[in-house]
Amino acid sequence: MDFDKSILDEFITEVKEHLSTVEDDLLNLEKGAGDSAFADTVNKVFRAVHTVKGTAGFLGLKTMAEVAHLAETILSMLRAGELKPDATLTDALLGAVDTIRGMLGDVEHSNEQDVSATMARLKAVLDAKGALPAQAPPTMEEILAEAKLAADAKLAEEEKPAPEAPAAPTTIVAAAVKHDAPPPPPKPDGPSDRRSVERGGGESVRIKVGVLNKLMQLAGELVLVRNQQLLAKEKSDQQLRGHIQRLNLVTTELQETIMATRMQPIGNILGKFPRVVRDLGKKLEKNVELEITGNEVELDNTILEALNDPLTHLVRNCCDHGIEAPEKRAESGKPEMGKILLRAYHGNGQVNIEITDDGKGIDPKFIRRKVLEKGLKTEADLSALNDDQITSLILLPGFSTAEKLSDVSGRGVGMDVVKTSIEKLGGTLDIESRAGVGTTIRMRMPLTLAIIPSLIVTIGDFRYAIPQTNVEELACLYDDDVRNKIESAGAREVYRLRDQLLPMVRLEEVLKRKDKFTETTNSEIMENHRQIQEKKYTETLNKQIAGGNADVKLTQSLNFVVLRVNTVSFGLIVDRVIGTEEIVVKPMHPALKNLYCYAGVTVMGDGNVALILDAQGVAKHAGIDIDEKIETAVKDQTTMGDYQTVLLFKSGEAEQFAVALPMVKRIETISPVRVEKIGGKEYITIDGVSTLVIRIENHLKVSPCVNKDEMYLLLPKHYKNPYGVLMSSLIDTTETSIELNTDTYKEDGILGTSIIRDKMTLFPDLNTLVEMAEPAWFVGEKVIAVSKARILLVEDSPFYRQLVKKYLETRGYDVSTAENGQDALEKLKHIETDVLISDLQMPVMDGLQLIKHVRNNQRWKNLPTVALTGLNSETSRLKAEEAGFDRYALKADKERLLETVAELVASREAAA
Amino acid sequence: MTDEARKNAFSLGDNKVQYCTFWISNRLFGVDILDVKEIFPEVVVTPVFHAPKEVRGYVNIRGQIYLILDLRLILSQDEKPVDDDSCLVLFKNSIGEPFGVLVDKIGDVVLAGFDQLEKRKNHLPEGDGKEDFIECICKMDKALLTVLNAVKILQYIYSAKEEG
Repeated sequence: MDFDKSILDEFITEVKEHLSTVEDDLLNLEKGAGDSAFADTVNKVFRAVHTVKGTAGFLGLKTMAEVAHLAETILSMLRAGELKPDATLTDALLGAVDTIRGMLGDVEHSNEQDVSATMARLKAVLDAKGALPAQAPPTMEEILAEAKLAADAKLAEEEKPAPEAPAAPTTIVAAAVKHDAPPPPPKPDGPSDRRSVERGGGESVRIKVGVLNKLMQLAGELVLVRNQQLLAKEKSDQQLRGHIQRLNLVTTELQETIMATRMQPIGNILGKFPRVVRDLGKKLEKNVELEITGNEVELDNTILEALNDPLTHLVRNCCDHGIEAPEKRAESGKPEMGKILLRAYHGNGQVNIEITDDGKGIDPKFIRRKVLEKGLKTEADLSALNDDQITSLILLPGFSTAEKLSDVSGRGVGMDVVKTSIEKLGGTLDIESRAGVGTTIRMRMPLTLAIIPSLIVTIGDFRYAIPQTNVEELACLYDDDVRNKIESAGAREVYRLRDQLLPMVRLEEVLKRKDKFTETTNSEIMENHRQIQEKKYTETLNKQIAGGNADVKLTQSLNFVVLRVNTVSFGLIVDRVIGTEEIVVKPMHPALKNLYCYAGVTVMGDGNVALILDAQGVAKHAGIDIDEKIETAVKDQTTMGDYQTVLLFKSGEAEQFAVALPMVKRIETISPVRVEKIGGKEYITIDGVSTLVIRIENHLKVSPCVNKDEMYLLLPKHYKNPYGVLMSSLIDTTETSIELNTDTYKEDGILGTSIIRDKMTLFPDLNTLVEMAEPAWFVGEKVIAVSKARILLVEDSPFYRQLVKKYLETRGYDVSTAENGQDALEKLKHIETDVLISDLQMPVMDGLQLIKHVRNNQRWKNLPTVALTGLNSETSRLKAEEAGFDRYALKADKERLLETVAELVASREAAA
Repeated sequence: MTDEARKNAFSLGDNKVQYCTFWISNRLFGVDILDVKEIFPEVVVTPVFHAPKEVRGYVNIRGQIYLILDLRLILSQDEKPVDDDSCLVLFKNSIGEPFGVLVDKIGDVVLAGFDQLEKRKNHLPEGDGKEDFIECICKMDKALLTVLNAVKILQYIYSAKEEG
């Protein structure tokens, strides 16, 4: 056997697990026949044996498959009531279990084991009842033939490259010998191999789900106690404070560790499928191709493990029943290569897994006939069902569409086992199929056990959690903006978010109204809130008049969360945004399952229950069409370019700093005690990655950072090595007009200054700061910077114009700038240019128009060009390349940009 | 209490049953004490908007989340604000997914003989479907105790239509 060790190991554990339950169940069988518990037990044993047979057959362990097959035949007759359980029958079955277990001890040589005694006993049971089913013998031969075929095919392949490099010579010899004499001579390293299997088992421990759940729950309780302690801390003495601080850290770490034990990328189980599909394709003489997306989706390990069997079943089904033989596919005009698409993704707070094939699909007529034949439903039952409902009948126990039995799938246990296991995990499974076109099986796994980061918001006294996956950004409107910026479009409130109209939904209204919103509801809500605002406005005006004082201002604010469902974004207006928290998702009470606005419930830090909102459900309730993208560009040229949202923060007592928001990945709250000093530098572990902490005062002439119990770390976007900038307090984010002043205050590491909220604000250059803090990361890059190439930078935003210009100049380039496409064309005529870097979105003439002009001009036809954008989107990249740009770079990703420019310059110099 | 004494205290003989009683609108109701997990005096619930009106909300009791139903509303009484006497009667998981009911006031544990129980319900108003979750009437010396069936209460919520 030249199978991957991991597959074999997994197989052994799995079979052992199955066998251990089977043994007890078999003993129970003897006790009584006829009652429903008996039928359940037989079904359970049957499924287990069926799985063993299938996997063994697939792995080419034909002796094991043979034994399992005979046992399965007996069980299937037991299930149909054709056989009655008695001692001999149980003995024979137990014998089979023992034999299989024996083979597991030495899987690699299991095919040579003598199993004739066990086989004889099993056959005797069948013979004694005179009930050897007519189709059994051919099936068995078939299996053998298939297994042999597969083995041969495998040998033929495996002769070429040997996977285990060190053992390569032995393997090839062994393979060659196998050709002539099927039982291979035992490999000299056989025994040691086996020992390693056993040892391997000791490194990981299987833990009962119950224990993990309990641990999780206890950790949760500990967090509660910790939180109470933290509240009490304020009043306590110094020594106690230290203890509490440590308890805090340990608790956090404990919780993180417990969580980490559970999350695994789904790739761990999807990884084996390409091979499974390829081998099955060979065996079934079909051309099948498997495409997998979403390997990185993380799932709770317990769910993941339980998904293994069902997924394997489904993939096998696709190969066996779904994809047609090549000739058939050719007849129906499909490409000979059948395609299976396996897709995993997070959505609506659930993990979705889809298996799609482009095979023959499921024919409702055929299902109808089969169901009637098997007597699973009556004609009257069926007449009430539509085609989709009929398709789902294949999920009934005892249904099988396989024309003949095979060890790949068949006997009709597959689908109902799959459905049962998925439902046991609290998931759902549905089938969508069109005859002749293909089948999609969609599974939605709950996050029941999962812990998800969520945004906590409030309405009135109550908190709601919104899964972070749906959250795009947060926004807040103040004072007069609340009245002016929420506008109406049709019957809906909208907000202009940059160049998009964002439909607004008021969470309070959603919760208040049970019925799905109609146009009337929406206009009613709009009207109500308009009136409230008008009233507030008039009151303020009256106050101004009465007091003769124009300074009386309307003070109010409005928070909203921008949520994204599929491709549609909308704003959800909430009373208050509290922050993000990792929450343990628990399912809704089954009596409330039909409330689609909620995804589940969770217990908050203070012990109260909060509901988790389902973004999709809320959108649906508010009448937002989530399938259709509402994209109305309202690009406002006067505000574009000159404005930039910045994060205002403080480090030392004195200065106010600002960083452009697009440069920020996120802000992490840290406790300074966790910062470790190594070699004069400071590090902190964030997301399991050791991150360099930069103190601004170490590199700039500013006041020292104020130390607090809780501090913040700004994690920038686009960096090669992880680092963060230490902040003592966050002030706000604000949209500000940035015409950076670069003259008043000059220092390396400062982009410039600006007056924000009547205060002089420093704009630190993060990229320069990190270079100062850790020059070692940038060794080697400087070497490239020797060119004196001339670059024309076209960018409408003064902020980015200065930022990018500065980067380029540090590399020694000669940089000229233009404000838009028109300007750029003018400048190109007069300034000799080696590389053109242009923003895409600009007033007057945008980047796409500019490049057309450039490419149409003989003189600049071959000018290297880079499209510069703030968006990392595939479509805009394609658009840019289509229009004629050579490269595409992100504004904020300094290193990529410089690399790109360097490459272009180098190739131009080489050409010249 | 020794083990022996405890055993005696809970051994009721063949013809007896214990009820956990509580008050709703000054009427005495009860449920089989073996169905009850605990009585909880604090009533801070998180409401679930869009749920049937009888659903009071969720409550977290030592890590377990219970769905709380308003028994007054289920028994067609008016809504009444929660006060100091209000209590939660929480049921065991064997009844169904974790849930409990809000009652006006908790009563005593009542020991009743089978001969005190009246199974017939024809003296109750018919037609509103709510007589279904009345298990029987227990004729006590001074009052009548209406015994409710916890499973039926839960079932009622499953079928309750969302109302405004």
